[in-house]
Parts: sequence; C-alpha cells; structure tokens
Amino acid sequence: MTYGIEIIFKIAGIGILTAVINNILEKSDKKEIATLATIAGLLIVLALVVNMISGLFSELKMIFNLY
Amino acid sequence: MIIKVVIIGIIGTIVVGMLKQLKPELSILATIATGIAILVMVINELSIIHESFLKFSEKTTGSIIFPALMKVIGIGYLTEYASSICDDYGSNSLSKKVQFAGKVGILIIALPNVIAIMDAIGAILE
Repeated sequence: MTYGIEIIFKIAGIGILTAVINNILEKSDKKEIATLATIAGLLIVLALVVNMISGLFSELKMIFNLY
Repeated sequence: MIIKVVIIGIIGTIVVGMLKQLKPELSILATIATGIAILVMVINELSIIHESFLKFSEKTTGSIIFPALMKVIGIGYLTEYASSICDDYGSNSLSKKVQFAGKVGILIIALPNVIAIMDAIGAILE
C-alpha cells in the first residue's frame, strides 16, 4: 500500500477549497458557517491522515514486530 | 525509488509552504502525510534487508540479538519521525520527550543482551 503524490495533492486541494469557501462565506457575512466549513475541511484531512498513520503502524508491526 | 522519494519530498514541502498561508493547521497534517508517504516507501526496502539479515543470523549465534536489533531500529525509526515533526512546528519540549521515551524503550529491549555480556565478562574475570 504505497502512497504516491496524489495523497499530497488531495490534501492541498482540500486546504485550498476550505480557504476559498471560508472567504466566500465571510464576505457574505455568515461567519459561523465559515468556521464550520473550516472545521469540516480539517476533519476530512484528519481522517485521511489517521488512515495513513494506521497503515504505517501495521507495516511497522509486520516488519519490525515492534509491539 | 529514490527519485520518487525526492519528488514527493519537494512537492510536499511546496504544498506545506503554500498551506502555511492559507490554513496553518492543515500544514501540520500535510507534513505528517508527506512523511508517511516517504516512510512507507522506505519500509518496503527495509523489509528486503530484513530477510537477508534473517537468513544470515540463523547460521551464526545472532538469532538472539537479531530480533532485538530490528526492534531497536524500528523504535529509532519512529521516534525520529515523531520528534522531527514536533521540532518542525516549534514544540521542542515535545520532541525532546519523544526522544527520551525512545531511548528508554531501546534500553529496555537491549537490557537482556547487556546482562548477558556482563555475565560473560564476570565469568572470564573469575
């Protein structure tokens, strides 16, 4: 399960999207929805990264029989 | 393999630099993701080395030391990864704690070997 460059581009895309959505919502003075959108973007990326971390740990356990 | 790692590293740093302006929280996650992408690639190479060492260690008496050695390498691998990420984002104290925990872990794993060596030396000296 090798991770290529598309993972990094996915994270960059999500980051840019949340920033753009944030600006749009702030301009149309809906501040609270903007913060919610930011948190949603952050959670999506967090879920992705946690998935990668669990993959890394299973690989480490398999090779180094670490714990 | 090394070309892929270099490309991912450079593109990862560009993305992290870009995200630092847009969304500082996301840049930490981007760093972790790039690190994992590179680490997973290196692990596949490391498993090849692991097998060749395993065959070698069965013949000699290394069969006791070798599993411990691989564990120590794994711990060093992980703690260096975590502590360098903590360093990147300014929390030096956290990175020191992670390194300290790694050292303690390595010591615990290496303890039986150390004791065996001490006994051997004691036997010689008598």
